This record gives sequence, structure tokens and C-alpha cells, in this order.
Amino acid sequence: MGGSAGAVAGAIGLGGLMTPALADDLKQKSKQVLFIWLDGGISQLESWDPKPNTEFGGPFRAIPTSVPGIHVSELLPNTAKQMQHLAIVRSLCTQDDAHSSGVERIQRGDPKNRGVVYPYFGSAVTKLLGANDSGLPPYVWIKPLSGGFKHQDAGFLGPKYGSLAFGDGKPPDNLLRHASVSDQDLTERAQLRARADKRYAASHRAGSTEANSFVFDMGLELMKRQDLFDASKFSPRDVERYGTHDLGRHMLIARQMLQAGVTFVKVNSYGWDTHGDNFNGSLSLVRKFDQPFAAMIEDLAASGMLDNVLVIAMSEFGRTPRVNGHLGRDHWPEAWSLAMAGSGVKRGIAVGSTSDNGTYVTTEPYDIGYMFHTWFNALGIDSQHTEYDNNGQPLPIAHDDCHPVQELLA
Amino acid sequence: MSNAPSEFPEPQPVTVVNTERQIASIRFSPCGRFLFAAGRDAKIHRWDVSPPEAPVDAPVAAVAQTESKTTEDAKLSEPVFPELPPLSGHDGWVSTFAFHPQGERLFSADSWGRLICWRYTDEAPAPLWNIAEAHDGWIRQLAVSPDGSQLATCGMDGRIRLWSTEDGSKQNEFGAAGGDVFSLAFHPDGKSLVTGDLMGIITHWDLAEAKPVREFDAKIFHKLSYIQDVGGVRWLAFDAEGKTLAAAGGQPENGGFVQAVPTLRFINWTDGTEIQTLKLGENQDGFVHEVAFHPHGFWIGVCSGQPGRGKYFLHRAGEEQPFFTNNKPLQNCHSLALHPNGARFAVISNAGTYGQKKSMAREGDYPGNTSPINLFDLVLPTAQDV
Repeated sequence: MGGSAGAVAGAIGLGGLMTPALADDLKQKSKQVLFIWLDGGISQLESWDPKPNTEFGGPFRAIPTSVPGIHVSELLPNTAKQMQHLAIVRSLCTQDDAHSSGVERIQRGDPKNRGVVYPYFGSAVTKLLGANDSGLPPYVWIKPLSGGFKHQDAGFLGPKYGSLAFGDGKPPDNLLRHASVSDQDLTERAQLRARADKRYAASHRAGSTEANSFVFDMGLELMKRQDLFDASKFSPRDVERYGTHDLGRHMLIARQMLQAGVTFVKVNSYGWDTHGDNFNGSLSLVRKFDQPFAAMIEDLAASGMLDNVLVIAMSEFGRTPRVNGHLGRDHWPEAWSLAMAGSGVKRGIAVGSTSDNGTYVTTEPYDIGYMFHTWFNALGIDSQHTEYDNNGQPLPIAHDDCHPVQELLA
Repeated sequence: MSNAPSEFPEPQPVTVVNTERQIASIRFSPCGRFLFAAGRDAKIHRWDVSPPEAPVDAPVAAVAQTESKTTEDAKLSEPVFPELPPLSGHDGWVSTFAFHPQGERLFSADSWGRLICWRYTDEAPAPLWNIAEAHDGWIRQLAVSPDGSQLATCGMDGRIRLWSTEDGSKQNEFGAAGGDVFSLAFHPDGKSLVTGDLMGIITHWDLAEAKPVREFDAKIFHKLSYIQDVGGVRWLAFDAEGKTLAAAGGQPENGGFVQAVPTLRFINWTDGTEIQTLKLGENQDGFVHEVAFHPHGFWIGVCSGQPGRGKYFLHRAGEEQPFFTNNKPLQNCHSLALHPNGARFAVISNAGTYGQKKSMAREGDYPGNTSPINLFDLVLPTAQDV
């Protein structure tokens, strides 16, 4: 286990009990992020910003939450009970209605064009927060399908700040040491590799060589931490609470990663591009998101980790109010929503609003740059005075025309 | 037995009734005089579709807008059907409705779980009885027993409930194994009910014993795509004698866009064997949303898929392909109504915009889609034709 966060794993395993001393210890811990990416676009009308009994409101009801006056879709019954921990933003108004460019634009924070590729939020956070003491990779990505090291996330920060993707929540292939390799063999091999790396680095660009060494170091650490991926160790109660589906399992693995001290954990869920049969699709998808999301918030809050972990759940855009002929909703960046919780975030609030039929934002519209400023500040990073140093080129960490949304900050 | 001739005349377009909002389903009243539509605006809309020469003594609130027919070849007169005041009292979407086979009662349900009984011929119908929480959420379908005594409902809460049509009292309740129950139908003998769910399970329920008797395999209608359960048994119907059960839906390829091949499976009711599984298009064509058994012994059904893709078809059970499929585009046909005389039917299509064009949303110019109701006449065979 990685420090006190590792101790919290035990606390959660014991039903969320935590001593005051442990809570104090947690407050000293580094900040962490859980970034839940619902790829394709969750419908805001079937989740955070329901418009029941209106032209575009769809078939579902709105339900009250644990915070008086705030309602969400009936497809989020478990999350509704955790609303006291959450902040909903209902006034997102972004620019891009295409997946290919929208995902990049949102996850890189859409800074002004300065001739460089900006890092994804995960890469940015791991760079700005610095190394943690867990020894584990700082930025992991739990996703369906394949895994691997995704250096592209890092942009100009260099490949070291890329994400390590665990396909289907499983460890990288061939991670286990072969039985014929002893501890001593392994140590000697690592030393040999380190010497070779050093010699190679002397005549090559630092960014690439650092990343190469970094990946090997991460591999060595992960070899010791196979337990992080062991779904058989989850308690039956947690499996039931998080859901017996891939997203539930991936969220449980994400919880283990956070407990072990990983700085940034991204969890992807695919299949949210509900151009067809949106309402039956949302019934299935949103309810399967609701279950592990609510359980995670509940667990993080109970253990005290929510004070240090910033949780964000979002997509690249929302979905059209208009319902097409296939009973689907299409892409809608004009007025959509996200949910967040945890470190530095005000709790139990809904910020911003949309028109009665959900077609446009009626309060100050927030592009993704505002969210990046807000998230950085929630993590204790002064987004308006902190800069990247790109080989001598100072670069703002978030869009210079945007600012933190103070309403969202604790 | 089918008595449809081998050369069946093409259905003739009569007119198109435009609607202001999208419609979930349509039915003719048992008397044939009214056309009803379940609105996704929480209202039940109705039109007097009496022949022009027939007296019209029902209250007229507005005259439905009609537009040119779906084919330029149509040389028929264009009837104008007066729209009557809608039935109000539902929330969300009116999802399903059905008529009492003898009386003047209509039973309707909505996506918030409400179930209402109306006397549909009243000038301003008020609920005869009204159950606010008949289900927890979306009531998918309802059906009235052949003798008119019972009403069956099913919903996204995974429950199947039986109600007295007289006073709305609950008479029985079952739980479905596969969760969300999409479809149901009474067997013509009134002793059995079949239900179909999201996971592709069709269950035969014995109503006297109030228990499941057997299950039919319909897994072809379900797919798990990432974490999305896609598909479901969208419609169930019996032939007139109750010998064949038709199960409708699509064979899903993916979630999200929800591409599926429209599929219709015929099942021998006696022994439960599959008679035929009919594929009615490509994966763009979506689902068979409804089928009905025509008194002349064939099936009529509608398909709706990706925006713009839709069709209706006429099919004799056992033949390889439908003997008629409309070859002129009719967008997203998702419900049909067969007139009691068998000579007319109506199909809902879709009209409007799809895609993410902003369409001046901020200025308030953001029209929703609508559901034109397309009426067709069937030229039925005479005794000499058969």
C-alpha cells in the first residue's frame, strides 16, 4: 500500500470506518483525481439536468436528491442520495460537436493555440502535482478493450507524462516474472538496464530516455502490486454495490488505485453516443453509471478520501434536446452538464441553468477552459499564476481568457 | 391460413395527418370512427375518421392539417379528418393504449407509471378511474383480455400487473426474470399471457395459476454492447386462432447508434418451436416495432431504424419474404393501426430535423420533430381472387 492512502484501503474494507487520526493524516496527503469519462456523450436531460414534462424532456421523471431543491433524472437514484457531496454544473457551453476533435479539445482544456499540443488533464495534473510516494504510475487509465502506454496524452510535457492504460482493468501483458527468474536475477537485470539507460541517455533527448526508464520502473513496481488488479478480492457486497458489469468492476479497480496512492485515475466507459434509441439506452447506461458512481462517492466520503480526491464525471458534449426519428439524441455542445465532487469543491450545489426546454444556457456559459481553471484551483494549483515551462517557453496552464468558477470552489 | 392472393395490390395512400409533436403509437377505435394517437406530449390525440358522407356529430376542436399524399400517383380525394379535443391527464410520454373490445372504454398508460381509463367517445373525456403509480416509471405496453374483463400492463420496473377493466383494481402481479418488460399479449383464448423483455426472454404465463409456464428463446433480440443492454422483444402478437405467436424486434449490432436488423420470429404456440425467423433489412433498418394479424390471414408490420429509415410490410407466415414492402421512403415507421374493417391502416412516420445543427436554439427557433400519420387503403381480395 502506498502510505496512508493504503491504510485507507483497510478502512474502506472494514465498512468505511475511519479514526480521526487517520482522517487528519489523509488531509496531509497529496491531491488525487478520479476522472470518469463517458465516451460519446451522456444525455444531460437523462442525468443532471432533467426537464420533465417539456417538449424535449423525454419520458423520465425527475427525482429529489439529498439536497432540497436539486433534482436529477430518475435514472440516478443512488447518486441522488449522494448529492450532498456533489457539485453539478448545468451551464457548459463548448464549441465542438464532433467526437474526434471534441474529445481532444475537452481533455486538453482548449487553451489558446500557441503552436504546441497541450497535455490531457491527467498529464497536466501529474506534472503539476509532482511525484507521489506510492511508486506507482501517477496517471493510469482503466478502460475497456486494449491497454498500453499512451504517450500522446502528454503533449509537449513529454512522453513520461503519458497514461498507462489497463485494458479491461487488467495489468499489462507479461507482467508476471517468469518462474525461472529469481529475485536476485531481477535485481541484477534492473541494475544492468539502469546502466544501459544511463549510457543511452547521455547521447539522446532527455524526454524520451526519461520516459523509457520511467516505464521500466513502473513495470517493476506493478510486478509487486498484482493485487491491485485482483477482482476476486472484492467483497461480494462491494461487487453488488458497484454493479456486476464492466464499469462497476473498473470503478472498483479505480478505487484500489486511488487507495494505493495513484495520483490520477481515469476510467472510461464507451458506448454513450446514443444517436439511436436514446431512452432505452439511457435506461441501461445511466443506471449502470449511477450504481458505481454513487458507491464510489459514498466510499470516498466515508473514508475521508473525498477531501483529497477530486472526482469528475463528464463527456465530450451533451445531447440534443431534439429527439430524432430513431428516438435518439445527437451531439449538443450548446448546453450540457457535468458532475464533480471532492477536493476543493463546494458540496451539494447545482451551478448554472438552461432554458425551460434545455436548448441553451441561461446563466454565464462555461467553456471547458473555465472547468480547467476550477479543477486546478480545487487541487491547490493557482491556475492564473502557474505556468508550464516548455523549454524556456512560458505557457499558461489553462485558457487565459477563462477563470475559475468561484461558485464551485470550497 | 392465409387467403391473401399471390398478386396483392399495392396499398393506396389516402392522406397524411400531420401532428405538432412526436407520437408513440396509433390505433383505430373498435367502432372504426376514431383514430387515436399516444403523444409524446403527455396527451392522447384523436381524429374523427368517419367517411365524409357519414354524419359527424362529435365535437370538433380543430381541423387536422393534411398534406399531399405520399405518392404522386395517388389520385384519390384528400379527406380532412377533424381533430377532436385531446385527452389530458398524463405525464411524460403517453406510451401505450388499448380499447375495450366491446365497450367505449380506452385504457392508456404513460412513462411516469400512470394508468387511466376513459370513455373515449365523450366530448371532453374525464378519467373513469386513474391510478397514479400503476408502475414505478415507464409503462411499456398494455393489453385488454379478449373478454374485456382484464387489463395487463408491463413496465421498466420489471413488473407485469393485471387490473380489472371495470374499476382498475389490481388483480395479480408477476415479476419478469429479465427486468425491463417491453411487450405483452393475451392469447386469444384468454387463459394465457405472454411477455417479452429486454434480455430476449419471452415468458408464457398461466393466468389461472398466476405462474410462468414456459419460456421461449428470443435472445436474438438482445445484445450487450459495452455496458448497454440493447434491443428487447419490442412486440408480441398472436394470429386470430392463437396458433402462432409473432415476436418482433431487431437483432442488435451495437449500442449507441443502435444498429439492428429488423427481425420477426414466428413461434408455434402449441409446441414452442420456431416456425420462422424473418430478417427484414440491413442493420440500418432497426427494429420491427409492431405487427398485427390481418383478418385475411397475413401479417402487417412496421420497421424503424436510423433516422430516415423506415418501411411497412405485408407478410404471410412461412413465406421467405414479405409479399409487399413499401419501396418509397417512409421515415421511421414505428407504429401501425389496422382499421376494424381491415381495408385501411395507418402508419406513423417521422418528420423534421436530426443531427446537431444548432438551428438558432438561442433565438427560440428550435423545432422538434413530428410524427405524420400516413393512411393507406388495402384493396382486399374478393371471393373470386382467393
